[in-house]
Amino acid sequence: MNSNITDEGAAPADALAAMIRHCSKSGRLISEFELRRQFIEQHQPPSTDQDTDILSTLAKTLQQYGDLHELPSDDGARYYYSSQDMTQAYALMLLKKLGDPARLIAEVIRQSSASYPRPVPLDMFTNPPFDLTREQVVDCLERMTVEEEYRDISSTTTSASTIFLYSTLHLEPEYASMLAEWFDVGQLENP
Amino acid sequence: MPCPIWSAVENRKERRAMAKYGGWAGKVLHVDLSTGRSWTEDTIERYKDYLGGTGIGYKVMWDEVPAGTKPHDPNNRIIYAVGPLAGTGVPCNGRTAITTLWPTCWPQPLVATGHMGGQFAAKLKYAGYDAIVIKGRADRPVWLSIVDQKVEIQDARRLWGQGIRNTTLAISQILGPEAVVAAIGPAGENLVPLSNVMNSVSHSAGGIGSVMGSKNLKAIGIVGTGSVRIAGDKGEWEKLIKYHLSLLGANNQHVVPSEPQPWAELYNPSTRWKGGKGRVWGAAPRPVATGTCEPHNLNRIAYRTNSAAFFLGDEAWQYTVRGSGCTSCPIRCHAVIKVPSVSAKYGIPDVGQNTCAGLNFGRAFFKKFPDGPRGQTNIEACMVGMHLADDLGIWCNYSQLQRDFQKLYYEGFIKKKLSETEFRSYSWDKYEKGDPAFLFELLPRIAAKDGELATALGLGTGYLLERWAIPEETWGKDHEMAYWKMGHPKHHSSEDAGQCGVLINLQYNRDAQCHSHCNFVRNGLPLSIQKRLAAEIWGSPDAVDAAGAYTRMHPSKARMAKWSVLRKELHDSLSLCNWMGPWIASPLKERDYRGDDSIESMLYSLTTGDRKSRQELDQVAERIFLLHRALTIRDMKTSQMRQRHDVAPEWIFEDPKDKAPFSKGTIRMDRKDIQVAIDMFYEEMGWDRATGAPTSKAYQRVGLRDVAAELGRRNLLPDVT
Repeated sequence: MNSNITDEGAAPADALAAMIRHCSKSGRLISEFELRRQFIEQHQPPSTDQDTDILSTLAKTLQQYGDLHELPSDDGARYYYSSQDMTQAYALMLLKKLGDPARLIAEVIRQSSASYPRPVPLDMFTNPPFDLTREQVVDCLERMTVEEEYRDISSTTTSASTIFLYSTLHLEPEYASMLAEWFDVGQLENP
Repeated sequence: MPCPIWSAVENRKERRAMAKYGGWAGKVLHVDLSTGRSWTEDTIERYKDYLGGTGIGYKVMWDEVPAGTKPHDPNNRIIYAVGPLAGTGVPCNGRTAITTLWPTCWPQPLVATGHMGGQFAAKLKYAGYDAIVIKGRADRPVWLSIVDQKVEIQDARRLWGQGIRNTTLAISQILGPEAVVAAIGPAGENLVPLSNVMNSVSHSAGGIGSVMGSKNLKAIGIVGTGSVRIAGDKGEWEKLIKYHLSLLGANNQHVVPSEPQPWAELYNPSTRWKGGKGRVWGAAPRPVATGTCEPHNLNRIAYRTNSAAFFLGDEAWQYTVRGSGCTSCPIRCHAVIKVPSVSAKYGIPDVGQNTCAGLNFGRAFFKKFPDGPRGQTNIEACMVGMHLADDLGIWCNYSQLQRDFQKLYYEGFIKKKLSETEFRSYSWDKYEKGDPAFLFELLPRIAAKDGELATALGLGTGYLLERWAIPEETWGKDHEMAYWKMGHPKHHSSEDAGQCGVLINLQYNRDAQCHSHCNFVRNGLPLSIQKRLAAEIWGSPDAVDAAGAYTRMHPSKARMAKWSVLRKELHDSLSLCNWMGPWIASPLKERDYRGDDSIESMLYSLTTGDRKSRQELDQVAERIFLLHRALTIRDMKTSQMRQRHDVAPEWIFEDPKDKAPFSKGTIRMDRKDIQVAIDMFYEEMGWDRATGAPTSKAYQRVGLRDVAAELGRRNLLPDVT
């Protein structure tokens, strides 16, 4: 554990809050499991029922500090972040990244198509915070072509050979193609 | 040839005027190159109501340059003017506006302005001047030396024929390391209309070069050791500057990062906010991580923008040394890139810097490259283009030069118009393959007017088409050409804000150079937030549409168009950068992404001590804009602006796939709707709807009674009862 994260003499609630905030500051969620591990390593609480003590302290910590938030994942695990350094939108993205990447990709595409509106370049998913390999992205897209829940996810390729992804729930194919060409080529030629 | 300009009487008078106002340096420097005489006049007395920049430029052109004057006549003026915010600590204040009769404006030259960033604006103020007005023609090549109050016309015969870089170096060796030098290259000397003036390595203003060349003026070198007085309280000033900084986004006021960041609720891959977690300037002496660029950290604003990564793709991160830019601007939109391969291949330095059309200059000539559109050759073409054009002083006319070249070649015009000997003198196989070495054949010949092709290209589009007997409509109906009118291309027209973009582009005598509207619609915010902000500023969410999904004309679109041109003129007169502002959106979630539409008036009032509300300052901007309109009407000798000036090209009414106007996926405009848009805009401006000419009342409302009277004497006011 990084000894700089908390003051070992700090109250347990403060120590847990510091751990959560430290992770958020570096752009990560922290799981309940990791919190427990770090807390025990640092504080070695005397109680024989360590888990109960930590969970109770964690619940109090969340009540005490308005910037700390809990996010349940699909598999029942719990994750935490501080809104001082991380938005809910980003935290949810990190949470979804822990699950099925195809679902994450589809949700990002749908949200972008609906609200901006815009298609998104495939390569975006190979950059932070997604950090998928191109092969992983391509695998996900192949799955999407056969799985019913992703039937709205489609792609278009620009004149510069860049692949953009969009949802047909929100963007018609011709409109998506025009927007992709505009974002990828048109804006650069009209600076 | 020393030419002292100072007199004790003038000095006392100016000091009295300046005691009242901060911001302005207080003097306008006049130089007559025909006589070698120079003198100053009081800025406040004659120009305060026009602020500075384009305001001073238009005022001088109206007062001193008669209709019918040609760009290269000695009697034409060239006015380098800055505003009261130049040289202060206001962010983004580095712009110098240069006003003259535009040599590429076709079919007749009319007033227009070019704008350069860099350090020239601040140095001019520190030397004690708000503007330099140059007339006449020297009897031999000269350069103008300004060291504070000491103004001298120096012999430039040894510099004539030199590139901009050598000229800058030579003058800097004379004036010292603190000097700023604005110079022309061989293109300007040879009176090539498509030529520019450049300062601070990469900051140029196009269209100016040949006007300087016609006056035998090679360069202006300035050393300024003074300062700019701020009228307001120091504490309030610091608070206001921090507030302004807090509203800044990345380049072009894009307020949303292009990739998800921990602090950000939003992201949009199409913005110019390229810095973020994991991004590194790979060619810096020691690689520099940009960090997440959290918007409250005002010391990290410069890490948000990377123009090389925006224009050249993610590969450019490895070549990025840093960002560069203007005085007091934290945006740093000029990317400094180091591409080692170009030294051995092309014999040019491996470091270059520029942005936008300057960065794209070389690659834009080519239709394809051997390794694809985003490969290494593409980047190398940019490096070759920058090094040649920025030394020869060639202007690209907002990339129209390159579009013209491609069309002329691929549609057979060049082969048809050139002699066989001249045609064969170019390596067309290199060109077709996308070999950047081809630029070594073409660009020096343009600068030297060497041969028919080079001479024609250097004229600018309008005069080129006339010379080669190609009807203007051939360009005007071609969607790909982006040609607008009067020899110039569109500059953020229907593709950016539908009818609002069209209206703005109709107003000017060269490409519009207005970014007020496109900086808003491209800022990266979701449409719902843009519409909410639009409703607050222009009275209705209907002012803005999603890109490529335009709705019918609405009065709020006309209000947005008026606001856009007035903010452009305001920025160009205050020396704020209209490539960065206005600041009506911000990256701040706690402000619901609002910026502040009053920031210009707050900055102006505190700097000068002349308190003006947003509305009052907008009226000054309208005065400046109307003076531009009046100059255009006077010199065109007609008030029929709607019929003869405000005319859109044919391509905006067509779609390559024949999609209907107002359908999703097209920027096609509807003819009747554009006429409605023009009606609404004229109405908003208080102009005559039939002619598009401002009425006498419109001039008088903004304090241009004398202008109205003069136009009345010339029968150039609309017949309005």
